[in-house]
Amino acid sequence: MVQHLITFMLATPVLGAILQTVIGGQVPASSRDGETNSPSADVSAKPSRLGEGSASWAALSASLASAICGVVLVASMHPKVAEPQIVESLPWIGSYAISYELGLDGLSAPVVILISLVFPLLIAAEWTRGAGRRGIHGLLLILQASLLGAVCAQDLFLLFFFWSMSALPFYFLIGIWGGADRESAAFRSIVTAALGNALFFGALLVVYYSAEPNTFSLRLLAQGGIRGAGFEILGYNVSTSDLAFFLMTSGLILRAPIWPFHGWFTKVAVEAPATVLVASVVTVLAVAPSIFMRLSTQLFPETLGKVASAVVVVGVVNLLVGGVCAVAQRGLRSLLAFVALGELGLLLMGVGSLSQAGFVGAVYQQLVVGLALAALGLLVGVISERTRSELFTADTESKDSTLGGVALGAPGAALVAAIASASILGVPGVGGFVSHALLVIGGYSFHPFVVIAAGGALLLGTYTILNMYRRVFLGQTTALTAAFEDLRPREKLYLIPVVIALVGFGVYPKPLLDLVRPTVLAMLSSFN
Amino acid sequence: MNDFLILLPEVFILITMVGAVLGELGYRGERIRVGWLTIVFGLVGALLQVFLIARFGISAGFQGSVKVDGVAVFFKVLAIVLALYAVGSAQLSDEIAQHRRPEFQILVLGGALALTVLSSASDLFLIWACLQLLSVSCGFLAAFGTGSVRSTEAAVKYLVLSVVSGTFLLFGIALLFSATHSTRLDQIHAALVAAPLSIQAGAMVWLFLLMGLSFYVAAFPFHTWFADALEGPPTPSSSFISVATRAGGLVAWIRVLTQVFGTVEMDSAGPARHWTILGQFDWTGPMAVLVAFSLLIGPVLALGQTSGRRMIATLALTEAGFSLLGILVLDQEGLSAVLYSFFVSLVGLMGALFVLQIFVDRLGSDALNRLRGAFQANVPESIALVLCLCALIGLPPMPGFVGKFALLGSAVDHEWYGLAAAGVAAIALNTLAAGRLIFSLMGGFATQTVAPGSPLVDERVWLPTPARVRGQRLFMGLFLFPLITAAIFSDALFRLLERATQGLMFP
Repeated sequence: MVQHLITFMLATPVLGAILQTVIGGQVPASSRDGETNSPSADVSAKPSRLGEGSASWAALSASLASAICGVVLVASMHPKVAEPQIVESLPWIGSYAISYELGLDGLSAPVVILISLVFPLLIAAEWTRGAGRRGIHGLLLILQASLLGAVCAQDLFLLFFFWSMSALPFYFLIGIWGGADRESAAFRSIVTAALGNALFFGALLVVYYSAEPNTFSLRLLAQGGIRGAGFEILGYNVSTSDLAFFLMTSGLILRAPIWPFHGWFTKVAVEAPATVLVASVVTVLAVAPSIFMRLSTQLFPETLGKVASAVVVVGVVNLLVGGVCAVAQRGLRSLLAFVALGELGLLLMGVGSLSQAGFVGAVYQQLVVGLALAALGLLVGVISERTRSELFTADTESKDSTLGGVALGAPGAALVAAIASASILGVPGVGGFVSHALLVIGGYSFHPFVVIAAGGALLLGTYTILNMYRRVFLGQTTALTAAFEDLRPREKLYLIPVVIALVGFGVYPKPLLDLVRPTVLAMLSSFN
Repeated sequence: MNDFLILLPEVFILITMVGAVLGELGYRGERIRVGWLTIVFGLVGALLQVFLIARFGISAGFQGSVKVDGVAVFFKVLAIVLALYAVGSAQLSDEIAQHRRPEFQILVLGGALALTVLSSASDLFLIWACLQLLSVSCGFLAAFGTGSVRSTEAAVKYLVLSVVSGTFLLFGIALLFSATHSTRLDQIHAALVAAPLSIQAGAMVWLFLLMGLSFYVAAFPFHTWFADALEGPPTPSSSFISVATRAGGLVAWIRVLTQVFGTVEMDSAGPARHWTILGQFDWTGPMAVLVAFSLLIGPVLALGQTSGRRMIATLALTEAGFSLLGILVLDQEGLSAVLYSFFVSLVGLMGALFVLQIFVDRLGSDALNRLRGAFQANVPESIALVLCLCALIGLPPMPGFVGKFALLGSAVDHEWYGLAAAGVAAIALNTLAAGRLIFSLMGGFATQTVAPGSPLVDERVWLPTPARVRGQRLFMGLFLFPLITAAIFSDALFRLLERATQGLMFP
């Protein structure tokens, strides 16, 4: 029943994106006289028979169809199998042993669920946008397909193909629909992405030409394709695994908010539309770490074993930087950016611990923190749309543009924010608790100091988020929020599923953890 | 095979050209002109002839001066298809006035004739003569923008540089002739195998040939004509000049480097698949420097461009570096990757230029600030431009990505790590530059308010007729179709090109 469903899952958003270009466009209403240019000619345009609404419905249907495929695929997975399941394989470029190979395993399943849940909501959240709605929908659909492809790819070339494809949509989404300084934010985003992709491409070349026989198949590479290989540069012996790991990790670091390369992300968080901010969070917090975990454990286990402590240190530093910087933020968007930075640090701490709990926690963290930040990000979009502000702390210049007392007029919004914040803080009963607990357990097995540092950073985060919540939702009503309207039906429709998912994954995490654990155990087997 | 049969495609093109000239001479102001259709039929006939002679396998004629192998067939097909595209795009362009189109098409036929003969030329003097004929055709095409200072500048630059490089090429040929007493490549090869050139003589010959041929592939430092030739003349002209000249240069490079400066390495384990340096002069080091500069000069220049065509020209400069990189590795895999990447990037280049031609027709300019927001009213055109740019640069999902990977992979395989890194950096920088162009097209959505009945793009000059729009979009599809086909069937294409390069193994 599920044969070719992965392809269908990737193809439907692409089809939806193509439909955005043909449905609801404007067609020329007049024609030119003969062959001569006529500046005075009537240049009016009329809407095509199928309106913008049809295009939006097509976008939502495509995204939902893909999401349903994703959920069905994950639901049909066998919980005790570590290897990729529901594999689709087709030779593509035989001369270079490149194949169209896709599959799902415990590592990719939570990220597929996350993307499947979030992207239809992003399409719905952009329902009322005026100019360029088809454009934003089309680009979000391309992003959905490319991220799903990057997560499901079982061929390194294919993985890079999808991963690099996800960079350009962000550039346009930020640069066209962003805030006042959008061009700068878009430029930063594309520069780091281009550089990151270039480094990743370098890793691709090194891996392929070092493997015996030359291959891109992750399965074959995991069987020891490049282990022990090396070459000489300027008289020094360099391990292929070390070099490729360095290139791949550097490439991913540039596309994820890792200190000190996080500047582009905080800028994007402030300037991008709320939906793009959410898509960006999904990319950097779920897809990039997922690729890192897959490739580093399958392709470069020796190198990961050597640098595991460094990964933990980077994680802890990120966590501390995220926590400290979050305290100093006055805007909701920049606060979310630094919270994401900290949560990514926590995730890396779990990965670097090379323990089962840490790894499983890291995989679960991708899903639940991704969902929580998605809910908060979408809520920030709602608040910004109504108040044209996102500041929660006043200074002398912005006294009249601060938020406060939103809960009085909008209890629904306050509830959503509370549940999402609780998940980020790791409150029992919501998804974040499970992942945070596992990550801390994993970190403890590495070194108790790590847990102390993480605890300190989490306390800072708790203070910051509670402070934000108090000021925005519980404080005194300001001029901006005096007439704040609660969530509208459409907004409820896209926020409530996230809240339900957060509670569901917090109360009953077992099915998903059962899917994740065998894959993680298989990945960690080479470290024992 | 009969000498005449080997050159049958060229004979077809020549007859078509003569027919077109006679038709133009006999024109008496009739309203309907079908000259272009005659040219299209003539070119299609020539294309069929190419496929026919390809069936006979490797064959030589004219005492070995002409050799039809896989590489020759590839470039002949490329030349004829290029001419077809040029004729078609001129018909759909307003940059070339209707009464001047036959003249344009005749010049294109002249260029195509030179390129088809050059593809199978196996004699250095014939190669030189073909390159000169190509230069004359392209030089006139560069000057086709009547009254345009930029077009005149482009033509002057092109012609002066081509004369200079042709002279250097002739010096190199003369030196080789004095050492080997032949201009035929197979005889030169045999003579050099028997008595290799000294380091000094080898270096001089290599330097002269390098300076002669670098102009044609637009490699550093002879790249200065390229951007002007793409910006100044009307777009159909610039499209033909940029592709035909580089194709001519590339096929000449392949012939010269594999036969004059390289010799096939015999391998007892299987069929020969690579070359080694012939003679005492190791030219790979200096060549690598040239490749590195050629790879990086384009992206660096592209970052600062403000005109669409000039930006595309600078982006395309990188391809010269990639082509030479594929030749530098001296193996069959590298050469087939060169042909694949060259094909994809050239279709991408022509497609991108055709779309810009549409924008120039509709907006009156290709300046980035004039293109701002053009996406909204020209969605299919803009998407086609994005896809063509991706193919040109080598970005997913277009097949240029596969081609670039194959080329960079060959470099890594032969331990040219620095060049592979330069190639990756070039792709990254080109992405940034192309991003600016695409951004210009798409920018302005958020700020534009579109009221029904009002123009979507405020600086629009006029709207084309629906029939013209349909024609342009159909023609655009003719660029996208080979690109998408090359992406899906890239493996089959690679194998085909590998078979094509097999002919080079038998000098």
